[in-house]
Amino acid sequence: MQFEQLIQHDRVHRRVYTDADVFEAELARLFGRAWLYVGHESQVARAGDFFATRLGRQPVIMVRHSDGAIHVLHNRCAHRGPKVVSVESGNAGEFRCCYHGWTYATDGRLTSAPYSKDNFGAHDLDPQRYGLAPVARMESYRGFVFASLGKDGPDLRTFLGPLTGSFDDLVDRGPDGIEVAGGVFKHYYDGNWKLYLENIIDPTHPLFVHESSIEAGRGQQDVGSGAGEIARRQMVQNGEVWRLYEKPTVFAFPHGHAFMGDYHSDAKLLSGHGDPKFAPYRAALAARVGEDRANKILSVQLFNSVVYPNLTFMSQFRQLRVVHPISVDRTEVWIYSFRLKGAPEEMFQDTIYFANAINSPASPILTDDLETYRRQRDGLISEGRDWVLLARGAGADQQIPGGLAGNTGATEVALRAQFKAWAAYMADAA
Amino acid sequence: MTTDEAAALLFREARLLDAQRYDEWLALYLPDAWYWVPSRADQASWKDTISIVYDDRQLMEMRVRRLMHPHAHAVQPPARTTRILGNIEIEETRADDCIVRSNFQMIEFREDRQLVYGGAVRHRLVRRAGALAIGWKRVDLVNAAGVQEPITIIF
Repeated sequence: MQFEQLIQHDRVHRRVYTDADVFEAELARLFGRAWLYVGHESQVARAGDFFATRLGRQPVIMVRHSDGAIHVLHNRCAHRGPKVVSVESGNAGEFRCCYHGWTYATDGRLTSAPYSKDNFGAHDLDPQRYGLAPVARMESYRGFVFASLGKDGPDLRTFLGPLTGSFDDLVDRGPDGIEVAGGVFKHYYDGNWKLYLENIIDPTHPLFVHESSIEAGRGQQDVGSGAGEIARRQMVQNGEVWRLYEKPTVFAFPHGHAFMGDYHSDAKLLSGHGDPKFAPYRAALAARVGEDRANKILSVQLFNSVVYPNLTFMSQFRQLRVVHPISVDRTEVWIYSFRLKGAPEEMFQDTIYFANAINSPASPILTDDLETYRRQRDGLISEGRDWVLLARGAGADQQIPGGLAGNTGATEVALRAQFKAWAAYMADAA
Repeated sequence: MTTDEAAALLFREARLLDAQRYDEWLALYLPDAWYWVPSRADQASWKDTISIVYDDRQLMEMRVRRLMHPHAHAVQPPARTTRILGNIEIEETRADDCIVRSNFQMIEFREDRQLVYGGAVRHRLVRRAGALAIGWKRVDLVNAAGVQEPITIIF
């Protein structure tokens, strides 16, 4: 199949969302090559800490060795193939396979293979070659660890391009850095993995998809404080997304990445708008980096960023989502929160309430997004039309350094950039 | 407060939730009530750890208002549920309130999928003006830490 024929500049064939052969090719050509987000270094803060995840469908372990170096290893015994790590995270001196006791150091080296000495045929059981196989490439940017299953391709910094700024925005907000904290949300949805990354960078959907929660928030007379207050503010703010339509606010880049400006006007949700609530935080940040630098950091107004194909995050709101493809019409998403180290604990409490409001599988907001993906799954089975339009703002995109800006926020420029990258990965079977 | 008295209120709540009579369900709860579904077993706090649901009274009201909105897509069509409560025990009794522990199992059906939920529930029941009201409810799902399907019902 010539996959690139499924992509035109402002529309894509429905088979990119429905065809199991396309999905299998995506795992090999796209997930098998691109830089994929693995985890944050704070998840493996101490020697021996490990975190088990997947790259595409393949199980891997991110682990910190005794010398402090982080390794990303295939979670597969070199002998007969069981996963050697069966829990999501923990601390280990070594990894031992359940089946025949093969044991591996936290850098992946084989350290013991019982009853095997001089008894393994032609295999010398060299500790490196018969260890837990490392991924082809691993790099990190400011604590965010990425891996690639392919040997060739751009280095991580080149791959990320201007998206490094979104990571900077998240990290710089922490007076003493940032750390993953507060637990992880995991949910499924019925729909193709690409739908999530499209929706997250589509500022025209909230007024329709989220109408029910916008109006539920607006109708709340007794506003309270705490969890309900944060949730109400965010639900109501989703009705303000039209602010993004007044000028270019969505920016798309090579490799399918993008970020969008922020639409929030509520100073109780945003630390950069001078509300007295955030004065202790601002002071903590200024004490570390100086007033001018603190003001500059807090003046950045970003909402969602997308690092194609498996990561999206909200730097201002300290939320990060990892997209795991399961099958052509089934996807799993893991969602993490970050604590700004050195900031008042109330900041993190707000982060937790914000996470519950928008990222819980029971969220009054998210569940309407997930229902939309499910309806796309069903609707795209129709042969009544073959093409899916990504044409909002097409022909009016503006060149910016290193990428494109949509003419306004009411644009599908980021979706066009995603499929341009998709076509490049998929065209080449090498 | 007797176990029978507590059970009668829990059964009433279950009946209202299965019938999606959410306004009447809210009316069972005190003005400072909360409804909590932790994201992990033995979760000690809703302040430092995410929750599948942590609704104060205001958010309970917004959750219900949203579920009843004609454009709440995730409940068009709505899920149907049926739940069984059991193992009801009064765990602690004080002057005018008590903590009641129960187990529940619930079948949910929506569109093309039937799901089973289950867990341990604690209610604080309070006697006010001769009647019983709910002060709070905590639902510990057996799959709290699992990968969830979209949740559009109230446990």
